[in-house]
Amino acid sequence: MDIKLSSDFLTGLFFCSLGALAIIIGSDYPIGTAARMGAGYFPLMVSSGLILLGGILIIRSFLTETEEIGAIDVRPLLLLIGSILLFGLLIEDWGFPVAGLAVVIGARIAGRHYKPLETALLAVGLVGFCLVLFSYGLGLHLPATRLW
Amino acid sequence: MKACLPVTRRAVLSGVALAGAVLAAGLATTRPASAQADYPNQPITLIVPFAPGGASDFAARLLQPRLSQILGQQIVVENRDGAAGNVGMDLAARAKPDGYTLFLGNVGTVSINPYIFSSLRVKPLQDFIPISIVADTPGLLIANPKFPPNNVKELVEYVKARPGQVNFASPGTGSVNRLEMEAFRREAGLDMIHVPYKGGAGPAAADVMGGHVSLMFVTISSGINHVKGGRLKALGVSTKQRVPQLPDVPTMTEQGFPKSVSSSWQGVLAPAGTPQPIIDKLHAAVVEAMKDPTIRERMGESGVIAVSSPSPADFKAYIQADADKWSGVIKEIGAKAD
Amino acid sequence: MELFNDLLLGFSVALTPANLLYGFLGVLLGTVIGVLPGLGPVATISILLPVTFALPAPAALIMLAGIYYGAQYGGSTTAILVNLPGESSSVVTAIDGYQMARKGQAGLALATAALCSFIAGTLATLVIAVAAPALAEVALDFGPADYFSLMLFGLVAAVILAHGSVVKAIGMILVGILLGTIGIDANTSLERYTFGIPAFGDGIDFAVIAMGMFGIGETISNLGQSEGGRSFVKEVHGLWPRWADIKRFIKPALRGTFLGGCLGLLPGGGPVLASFSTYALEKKLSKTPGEFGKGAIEGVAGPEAANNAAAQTAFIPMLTLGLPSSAVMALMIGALMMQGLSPGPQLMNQRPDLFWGLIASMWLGNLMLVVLNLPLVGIWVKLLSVPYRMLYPAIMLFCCIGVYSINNNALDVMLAAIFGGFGYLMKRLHCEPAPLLLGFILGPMIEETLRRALLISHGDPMVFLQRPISLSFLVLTVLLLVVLIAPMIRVTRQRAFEESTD
Repeated sequence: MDIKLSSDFLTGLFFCSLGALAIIIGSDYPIGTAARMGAGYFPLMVSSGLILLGGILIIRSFLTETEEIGAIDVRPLLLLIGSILLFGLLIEDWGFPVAGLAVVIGARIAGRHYKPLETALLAVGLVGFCLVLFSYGLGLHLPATRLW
Repeated sequence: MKACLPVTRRAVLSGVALAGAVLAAGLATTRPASAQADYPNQPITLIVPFAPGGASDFAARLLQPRLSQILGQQIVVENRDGAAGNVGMDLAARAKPDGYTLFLGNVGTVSINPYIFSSLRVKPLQDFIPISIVADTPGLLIANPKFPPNNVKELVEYVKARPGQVNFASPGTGSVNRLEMEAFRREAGLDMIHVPYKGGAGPAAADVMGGHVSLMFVTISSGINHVKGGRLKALGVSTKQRVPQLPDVPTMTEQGFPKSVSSSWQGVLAPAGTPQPIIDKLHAAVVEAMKDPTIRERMGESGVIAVSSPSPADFKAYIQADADKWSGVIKEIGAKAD
Repeated sequence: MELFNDLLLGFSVALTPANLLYGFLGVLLGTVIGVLPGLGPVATISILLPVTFALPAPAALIMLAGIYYGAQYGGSTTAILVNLPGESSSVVTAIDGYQMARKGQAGLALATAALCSFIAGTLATLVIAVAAPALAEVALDFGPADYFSLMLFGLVAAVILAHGSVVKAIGMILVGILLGTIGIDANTSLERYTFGIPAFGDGIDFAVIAMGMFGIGETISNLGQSEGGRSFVKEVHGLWPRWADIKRFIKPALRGTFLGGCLGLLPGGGPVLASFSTYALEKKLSKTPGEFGKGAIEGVAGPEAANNAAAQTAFIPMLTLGLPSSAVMALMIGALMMQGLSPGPQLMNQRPDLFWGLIASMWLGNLMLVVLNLPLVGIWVKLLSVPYRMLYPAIMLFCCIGVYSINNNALDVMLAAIFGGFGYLMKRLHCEPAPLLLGFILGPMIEETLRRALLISHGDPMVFLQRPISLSFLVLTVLLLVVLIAPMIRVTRQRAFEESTD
């Protein structure tokens, strides 16, 4: 995916939307006074600043040429994040060995030139190594690593 | 002056044993169902809802060796801190009520948090069976040495002459030390500004020492050294009788404020549903452990009073009274968070 | 002469073979756990603290000091090797250290970090021995207004960290501050931006964001690159610093030690503020500021010295007043209490053996860090020669274990994944992660001190100008802003000029 948009414009848009979102979500946090600031005072200040900066960036993007974003590598982005999410989903219920294998294999698939056998060996080796070192050696609490 | 302790072989071995205990924490998670009669036949986890090194952890670690000895099973202290102790309390409340998971509750988690955090799912008095109190730490009213009033009477006059001008610190909005001050403030009819801190009593006490804030309530254990070192002065102590560690400091009661009796306590609780014979066995064990002279001495050194409850019911009544008192103060000052 | 006798007493306590062994064990354990991405000194000490309870007091403290330094150095190691700052103060080290590693100078960067830490540690320990009580008084003089102005100065200095657009850097700082507001508001107990998730009550952990934006984000962009993802230079040169390198890094190291030593006295952000204000200073002093961000040795030496010096002087308020200035120090106080010792002014008089023993063991801990880590440099560098296609899945696995182990919470791992995607996309937008992280660390402290200062002054903003310390920092902040904005205006004017002549 190649995006031909100015990075200034998109960053500005992002800053503005994040600022606006924070103000909307935080709209029911009491503002208070300077002497007794409520929970909403500081986030409102910061969000407003963010919107202001976003505005500057958007305006600047129309006035001057800025860098384009270029290619977004969708495959590693989605697969790598997916495999780490999978680790998070599996760790509590399925235990560390399963989650560990999932993240190593998933991460390896996210890259190029994926070789099944090499990946399988790598995954088993790494998970075994971590089990011995961190769970047994250092006593970190990793689920389902003490079944035997 | 005691010379430096040599490292004995026993100390090394106990270090190794403790490392083993840390490992056992993991083992304890896979346990078969057990009969009540031979309880306990496997390690018991004591959940401390605060980080290692805090007051609760201190009490738990002191209790641990003696209690393990009495019960004949290893007690494993597990620190599960977060959200003012609510994370650990929630975890303990949902644990299997088989006597193998216990909770070290304190005034904050059990008597205050339910009234501060409306999103809290745990109802301590329903979700736990109290076993026994173990530690009782009175509150100490401290002030910067340059702050003019030297006792509570002078303080009341001073603040009354300057309504809304005197600042008091606290280790947090929902902390017992803040509520102690609020209760006293209402009893005396004083108008003062609350300046909350976070991260324990340390940062707040530092600003009182630096003279940036005038006064605050702290637990005796966190204030006693500074008072003895002359960096802070003590105006009153929140006990019925004077405390032996600070015999010159009058109680709030003697100075005309009998309602200012309060304590930061710690106690052992079990998840609701734990069988009565197990509760009784644990109660007897805790009471026995608290008689240990080493525990009493070590707690005493840091201003903590080692105590135990005559019966689980007694501890329950104590918590109930404590919770009623603090929830009343919270309601009056409107410190509730939604 | 008294100092000499005191130090002699200290070394006589610390230098027993058993204590040395505990110190070494501490450094080793600290390094091994600290190398796990996400597990910084606080988490490492929390994990290992109970082990020390059974030891006699001097051995326990020496071991803890070792764990502390080990964990801290472990964080720098991963920051340099794989761009994973394990703890807040190594964020800055990651910027140039990782670029050095990519140029094949990983060994040099690691050795520089170790040597500069040692230099800073030695000098700072000496400062503690000579002047601890006097310096503690200075720390007490800092009121909330003074902290606020200092933090504001720090935030503005954070802009210098970025080598791209200033507006984007400020924006990223603000995004970081906004992320820092997530959690229960300390002043009102109100939950902000928690979306009803209890685990968000204490806010997001620093390591979750750092692992995501640095580690995972970096890996995604490496995988996207066309040359098969291999981003390190194959031939490794300069494993050891040469004389020319030492000449380059000694001055930044000394300046970093001084700045770090001063900032370490202050609670909260000491080591972080120290590391990046040193970076900013070196970048401004450098004749070749363009090299910063592309692998300048000064950018590793200064901050590493600064954060180690700060880590050292952070002991001063704890030892002399019994006041913890950070979570690590609070843990140390807990450890002392377990030994039946109350830290504070009495410690020095009641147990001089312990007080001076601790100071001696601090230095020994630093020494052992160098002794342990210099030989390890070669091994670490060899790890980088593992093909990238096998290295990065391992890094991802370590990230997952590290982030999970902070709170044993699976949600943290998933959040880190999301921040990884966010970090990658922001990188494509030419926004850098370092300013965001610093905003995230300093933001909550800024809010806290701002609200506290105004509570105490009953709403009078003049308090920031009336207090001399606060005023000085505000003046410095304005000066820094001028220095930052002046070139921008010049460039804009140049552009305008060029356009008009077209």
